[in-house]
Amino acid sequence: MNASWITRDVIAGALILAIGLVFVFILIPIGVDEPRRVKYAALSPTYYPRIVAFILVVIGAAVVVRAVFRPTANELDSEAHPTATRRLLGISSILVAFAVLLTPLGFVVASALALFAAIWLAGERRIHVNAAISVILPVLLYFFFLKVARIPIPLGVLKPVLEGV
Amino acid sequence: MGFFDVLQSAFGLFATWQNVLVLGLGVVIGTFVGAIPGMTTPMAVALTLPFTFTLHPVTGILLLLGVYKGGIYGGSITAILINAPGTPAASCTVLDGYPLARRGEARRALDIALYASCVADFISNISLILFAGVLASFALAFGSPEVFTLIMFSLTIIAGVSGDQLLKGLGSAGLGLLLATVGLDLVYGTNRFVFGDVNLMSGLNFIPVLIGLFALPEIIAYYGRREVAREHNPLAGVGATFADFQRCLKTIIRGSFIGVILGAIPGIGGAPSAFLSYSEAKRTSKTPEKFGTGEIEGVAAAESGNNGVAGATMIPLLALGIPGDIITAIILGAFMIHGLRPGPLLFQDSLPLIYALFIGIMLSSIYLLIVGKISIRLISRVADIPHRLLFPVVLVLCVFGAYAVNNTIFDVIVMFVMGGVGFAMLSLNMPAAPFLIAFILGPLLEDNFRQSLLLSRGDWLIFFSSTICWVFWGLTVLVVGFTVWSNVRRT
Repeated sequence: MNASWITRDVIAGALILAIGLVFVFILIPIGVDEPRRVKYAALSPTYYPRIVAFILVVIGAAVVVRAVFRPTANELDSEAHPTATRRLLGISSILVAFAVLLTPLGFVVASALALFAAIWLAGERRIHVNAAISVILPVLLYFFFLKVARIPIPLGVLKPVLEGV
Repeated sequence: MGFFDVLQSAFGLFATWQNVLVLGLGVVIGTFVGAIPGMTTPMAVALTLPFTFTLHPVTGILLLLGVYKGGIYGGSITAILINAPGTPAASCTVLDGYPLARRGEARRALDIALYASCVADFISNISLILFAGVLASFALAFGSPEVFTLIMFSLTIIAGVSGDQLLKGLGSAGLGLLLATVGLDLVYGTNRFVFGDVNLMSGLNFIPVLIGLFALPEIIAYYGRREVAREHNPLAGVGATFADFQRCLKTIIRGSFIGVILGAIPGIGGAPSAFLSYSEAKRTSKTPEKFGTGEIEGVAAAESGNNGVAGATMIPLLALGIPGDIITAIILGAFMIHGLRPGPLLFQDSLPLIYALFIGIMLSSIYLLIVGKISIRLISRVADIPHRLLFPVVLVLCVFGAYAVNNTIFDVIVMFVMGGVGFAMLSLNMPAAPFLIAFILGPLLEDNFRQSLLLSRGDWLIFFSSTICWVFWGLTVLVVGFTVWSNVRRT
């Protein structure tokens, strides 16, 4: 990479700094309902978050400054998988799909699909092992939470099948 | 009635087979529920409560106490094995327990966690019996300013868990403090960072944040790593030796007393006590740099700290009728269902009942040792599962667990989002532990800060108004000074 001064520390510091600034100038003014009359400044609901956000700005700046003036070597990850990027993209897509499908499909079906995909991506190529785990585990968990903990897990599309069992 | 008459009738009350059986059953239930990520000890105690209605008061309360004690230990099992603490109190155990497990020394970690838990539990129970009155009056002296200074002091451990990433650790803690402010503001009842979403009004739930921050990044990162052929089952390694136990004994005893003292103060709970015990162990260690990389003493410190609380939280409950945390509040409910009102009057009217409970509580430490030993063996079979199956399975467990805390999908979404945040932090080499500590302690810090100022009508001198405050300020300054000094010296 050309810009060798962009290390992890610089990115981390810049992010902390940016988050602090966003809180000070945007999120706190917009997101906190200030009561009309506050007896003492310190009692205002914005007082404490503002202090913390200011501290974040200072820390973020300090991290960046230190990283630029005293850069540490960007260590190479020796444990990295040869197709790490593709695998990481894969698991990220699975997680996003899992979160999105949870409500329409219900926990059992969404979990079964996510589980099958995640196990396949991890390198398990025996379809029968994969399928067995993917189907049995979510169903078992469903009944465990329903019967033992008395927590009804949303069934989604499986509602007509499993309800009443 | 003389002391021995009381003791005799207490034994009469306790010595039934139901009591002995039920206490053990409680420990088993607690251990297993605590070991499931997302299932918390308060949940386990709450779910058991309805079964105690028909039991004798002593039997019912012993059942709940068993669940309580088992749950606190159970939480550390998953903390060590899969980096997902089953209970908030076990989140400190993760710091060294999981690195140990990755090195193939999970068995050693679990053993030490168990021994530390049992010793701390025992010391805590003895303290409950001996010091109930004395400690309760000390706890009465803790008002908001004192708690505020105590939390300030507890926050200094962030320096300890950040390792050589002190600045980024502080940044991480700042983010945790900010996230903890989401929800209704307690003084004015106005919204903060809610943006019209009802789910955000009560703030973010601790468990989904915790699972997201610690378990999910580990799962994602697994996909980026080369599959290492595992030469060993993480639990095939040897257990803790007597030498290990001996080496940790000082830490365990110190942690137990930290737990006892913090437990006796209503509203503190196991997590701050575990973190405080951990940082004390690290500070006094000859090899502090090993903490966080799989130091057996770190596990011992965390576990003794959080179990040391378990008996002591009963002190203000029994002596004053003040519940120290959610669990003791549920137990208070159990007392009241049976027409008993904990407090000074209970000591006058039903002393045999209190003594019968004490006897049962003493027995619970022994149960904990037995149940713990057996459960470690059962769990060792689970650890044989190859990673390519285990990580996806843990993912699904996390999702079900996050949902079960409050029965809302919102919590699951929070978990996924925090998983992304956690993975980003992992990639940027930013320690996640300070984030979590700040997230737990943040509300306590802010509430007590503002309540103090409300009491003093805005006068900041209230934070220096008592000896307890001065002691904690002194300790805080000492620790911060020491951290800065040792950092400057290193560079």
